[in-house]
Amino acid sequence: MSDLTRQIVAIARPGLTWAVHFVAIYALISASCAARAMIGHPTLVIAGGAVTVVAVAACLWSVFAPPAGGSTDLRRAAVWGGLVFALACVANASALFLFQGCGG
Amino acid sequence: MSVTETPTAYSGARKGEDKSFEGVWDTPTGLRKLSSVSHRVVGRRFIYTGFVFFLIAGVLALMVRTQLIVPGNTFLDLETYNQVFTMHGTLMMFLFAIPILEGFAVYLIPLMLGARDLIFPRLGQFGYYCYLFGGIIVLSSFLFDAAPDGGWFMYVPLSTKAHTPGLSADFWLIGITFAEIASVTAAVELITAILCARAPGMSLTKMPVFAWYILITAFMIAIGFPPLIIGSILLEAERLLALPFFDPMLGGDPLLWQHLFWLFGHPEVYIIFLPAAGMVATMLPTFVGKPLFGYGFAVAAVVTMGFISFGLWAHHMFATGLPILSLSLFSAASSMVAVPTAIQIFCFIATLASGRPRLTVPMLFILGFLSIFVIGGLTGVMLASVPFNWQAHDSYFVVAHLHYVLIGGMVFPLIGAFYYWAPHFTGRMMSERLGRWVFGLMFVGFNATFLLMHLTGLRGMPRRVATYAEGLGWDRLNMLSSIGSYILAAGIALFVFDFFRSRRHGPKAPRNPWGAGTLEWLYPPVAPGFNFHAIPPVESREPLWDQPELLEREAHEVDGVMHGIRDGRRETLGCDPVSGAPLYVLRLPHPTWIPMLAAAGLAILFGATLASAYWVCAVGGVIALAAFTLWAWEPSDSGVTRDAGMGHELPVNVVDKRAHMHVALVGTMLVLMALFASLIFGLLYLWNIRPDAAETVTRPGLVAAAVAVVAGIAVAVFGQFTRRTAVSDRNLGAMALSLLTAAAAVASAGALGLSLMPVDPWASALGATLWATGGFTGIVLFVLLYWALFNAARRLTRRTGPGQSMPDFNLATFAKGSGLMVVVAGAFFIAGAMGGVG
Amino acid sequence: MEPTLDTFAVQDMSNVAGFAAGETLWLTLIMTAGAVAIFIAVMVLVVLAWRGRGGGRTWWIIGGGIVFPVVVMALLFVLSTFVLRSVAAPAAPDHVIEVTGKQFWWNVVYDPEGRALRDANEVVLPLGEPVEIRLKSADVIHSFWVPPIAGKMDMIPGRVNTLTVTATREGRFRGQCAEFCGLSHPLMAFEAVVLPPDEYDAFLADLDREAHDAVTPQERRGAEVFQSSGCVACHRVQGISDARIGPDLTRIGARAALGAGMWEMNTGNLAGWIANVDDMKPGAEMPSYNHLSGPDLRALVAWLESLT
Repeated sequence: MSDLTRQIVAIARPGLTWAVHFVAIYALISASCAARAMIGHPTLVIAGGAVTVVAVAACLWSVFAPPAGGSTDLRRAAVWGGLVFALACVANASALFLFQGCGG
Repeated sequence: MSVTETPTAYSGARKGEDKSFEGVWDTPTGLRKLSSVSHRVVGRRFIYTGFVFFLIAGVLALMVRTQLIVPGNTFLDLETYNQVFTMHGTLMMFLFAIPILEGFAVYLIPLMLGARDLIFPRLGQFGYYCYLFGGIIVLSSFLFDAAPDGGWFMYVPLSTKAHTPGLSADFWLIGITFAEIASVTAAVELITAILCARAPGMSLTKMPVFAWYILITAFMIAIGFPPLIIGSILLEAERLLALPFFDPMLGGDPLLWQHLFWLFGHPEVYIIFLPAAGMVATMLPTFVGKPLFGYGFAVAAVVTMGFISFGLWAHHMFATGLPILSLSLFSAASSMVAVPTAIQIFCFIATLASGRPRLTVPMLFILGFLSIFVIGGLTGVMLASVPFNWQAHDSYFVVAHLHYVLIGGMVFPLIGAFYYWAPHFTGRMMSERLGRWVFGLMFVGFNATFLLMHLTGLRGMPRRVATYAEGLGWDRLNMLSSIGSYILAAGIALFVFDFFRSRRHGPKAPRNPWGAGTLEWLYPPVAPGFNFHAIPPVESREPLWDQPELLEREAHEVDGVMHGIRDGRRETLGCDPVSGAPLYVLRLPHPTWIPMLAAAGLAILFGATLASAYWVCAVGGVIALAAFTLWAWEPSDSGVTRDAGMGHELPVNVVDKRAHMHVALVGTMLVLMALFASLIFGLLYLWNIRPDAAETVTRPGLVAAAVAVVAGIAVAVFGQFTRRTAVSDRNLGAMALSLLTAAAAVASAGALGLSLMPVDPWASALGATLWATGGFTGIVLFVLLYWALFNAARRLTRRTGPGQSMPDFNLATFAKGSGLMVVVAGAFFIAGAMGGVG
Repeated sequence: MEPTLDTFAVQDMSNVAGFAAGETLWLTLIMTAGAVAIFIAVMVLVVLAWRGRGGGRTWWIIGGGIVFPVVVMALLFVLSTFVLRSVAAPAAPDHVIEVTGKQFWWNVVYDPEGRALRDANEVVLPLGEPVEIRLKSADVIHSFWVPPIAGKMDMIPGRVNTLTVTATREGRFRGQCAEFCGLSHPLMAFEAVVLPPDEYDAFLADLDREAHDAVTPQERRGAEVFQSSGCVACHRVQGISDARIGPDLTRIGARAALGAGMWEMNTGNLAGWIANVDDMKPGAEMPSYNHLSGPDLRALVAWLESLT
């Protein structure tokens, strides 16, 4: 991979991670709070927390190991993108810890 | 590979076509102009048609405001009012905003990136006619007194046959779905054009920022439109065939429609905003005289926005009774989207500070955009708060918010863009003096209309009401809004006048009239039909600023690649998607009627569906299929190489993963996968939300489903082997493997169908969705079958020369994608059969 | 169509009469102040940037584009979540009211699992006691919204949504359907009446009885017309008919509004309504009774007005 390709991957990775994390949290909430009620609240919180830790780590990868070389603009974009998406993942999961149960 | 010095005559050439470089690129004259495929012609058509829809929708808006000017007004009756506001939203969102922005992209992207045309010109023409015919279908509903009146969001069950008998909803569903084909084809076309046809040396980091905006937008269209297309098809099927997708009595759910609609509808807002922001990011540096500040941040922000905008859809559904946990998830994502928005705004502000801004008319519109859009963004943040949303949702607060976002974020930049790029269309400048009046009227009129509307909403006025009672505190606010709307309309009218006036009387535009840095200004306006005689190597994001050699000479004499090639063909340069290094010579088709014929066939198909004349549908389908076949049947160009000048010895239409055909196929697969995923979402959703109904569904056949999975794998494997054999030029082997792929496709479809036989689609929503999933996979398999047979036929008739394996190369990718769909669908059927659907 | 609603109550969300509306109003004011401040700050920056010749700075983008919005969003998210928790907390309700949206009116049942007291187009709430409002739909999607009392909640076919509200002020408040529901969507409103708890109990007790007997000859004639002209096929009047297609008319004369919160209840409007429903509320299921003779119509109106 060229420097440029690595940088583009580093920019895209946090976004993709966030997307997967969002889908995972949405799926977990849907599994817990819809009529079928497949999983209980503790499972929801534990699984949601685990997914979030992994997602934040994947986002921070772009922050702490930004690909060298290539364009400084893109490197900076990767760093800040990673940081913003890491926070966004935390925000996605925050509701799991702020409410007991599905919350009405 | 051999270098052929005398290429064979091109069967797609027009009769008596001038073979000179200029002649080949000439736009046909007279009626034959309709057969033009050039991005310059197609782009302008999109823009002008979109603007006409804008004016029609604007008149409808004025009717709405006139009706609401006083309480209890009787200017419009309830039915007419409902039609008027429905059509206003529909035309603005589907037939104006997206098409006109795509038109600008279609027009500008090749000029900015150093390409002579978009690389799928016929697809552009096809898309345009789909859009035009679809738009005409929607508008024609007025003639049949069947204008849609269910709102632009078409919520079920209001839009089902029981509550909206007659054809009005069908006009909407069929016309809009047809027009959406144009959006999706344009998306694939733009993705490919941006990735595959740039000037030598234009790496992704040197790409003008507008191209980044359009690239991300195009990806968003490819993923965002499919949920609505699927939703519309399901709803039309419920209306026509009585399949109970959304019927709660049979295990369906009205909210499934809302999920599918807003999965499209929310990204749609960003799809509209991003290209307009890209225009701002292009115009602003010109008038500041300095490059866009924080290019990397802007690009990251656009990418971020592209992702996050898909996580907001349910904030349109906060009041539907979703679990609070879900609301918080969507509330969080809705808040986070403020970050990339703010980054872009601050990039613009920092750019403004980095030079000496000139207060031209486009600059005024940029300032208007900044002030109005910031308000829209801030009220958007307010709406992300769940408790506030419960009050403000579906009130006039939201009407104000969305117009601040859409008019501020899109219409203001758009009018600015017209002033900026008008020389490209007319060769003349629009008036700076009138332009200031246009801006003033629009700015004052807009704020008069919408600023206090926030208050109207907080005072409890709901949306979509044809009339309201006196004395609720809404009277004066509405009067003011209506007067403001007339001022806004006067601004638009003055703009139209100025545009037409400048076509005749405007001062002639000089070369690079604004002193811009991007390549579209290399030639004096109007640029010639071929865009670039030679395609200059690019070393910077603002080549006209940083490469003085480009403007020192006459544009025709600027040096670059592809100067010397004289094949009597339309050609441009294909590049590596990342680095922009020249990779191949990309041959383009000449003017042709075939895409129009295909679109006309589809128009007959869709129109006849409306008229319930099903045998006519078949005729339309056959016409379209025949046109597509003719389209694809032309001889392949690959297998030769050319000296492109500047030391580049390039193959023609290279067979490679980076080839434009393959990139486009990947884009198309993205669309198909998003369509398929929408159906899978529907299956999981209904299964999860209505376990009681799921238990009543008969189980699909287990053995047949297992066979389907195996056959699906076979499709992918045979497809891959076809590619390998074809690339090594083994004609017979490739033909045999094509036939095997076709056979596996038939087996997959048959097995899926057999597995579904026990399931009654009319008995339950889940059963109907299982059939829809199977049906969609079946259609994909039909395309695969047709394609494989087509390739085999070409090999049988010796139409395929050495090195011409692109169709087989692409077939393999398509086969792998189709195989994956069969396997997933089969797996769902197996799960249903094993565990019982419940 | 001449709505004379000056006698009707306010629909303004800032005219707070409910716990949720009160909490939300605070949130709204805080957010509005913040939004105005941020807007002014950004515009000042634009002006400074326009005048400044210093050139852009990266920290502007990092500070203004990332750090500032993240901090503001985090604060707002926390604030809004606290409000959400207090507004949506499933407090144990003292009362249950079931409201079903129909094109274009509201069917109301008090205590649906107990006494099942039926009424229409008016929702009476006890002051200071949490009430669970169960929201259903009989046809298309409607939305239940009384801005002074609480935010809105949709009524969706096949689902039962709940909205728990606590009224904090006595009075009459206007609510309106907030989801587009077809032809006469703008003509689908209702009144929410907040009564002290003892009056509320009295109101419920009063609902649980047969309609007043007709007194005057004209009223008796009106009751006969009601029976003979087919009204009984759709309308319930306790003690006389038990049809449930149209609104319950047992206490129609006591309601302040006619036609689902749209017109003042008076003799002229009521007669006009019966004779010209098609004009007053297009798309309503009720046919226009314009074939009734003048005396019959007047008698019917007189009897209906006596049903208090």
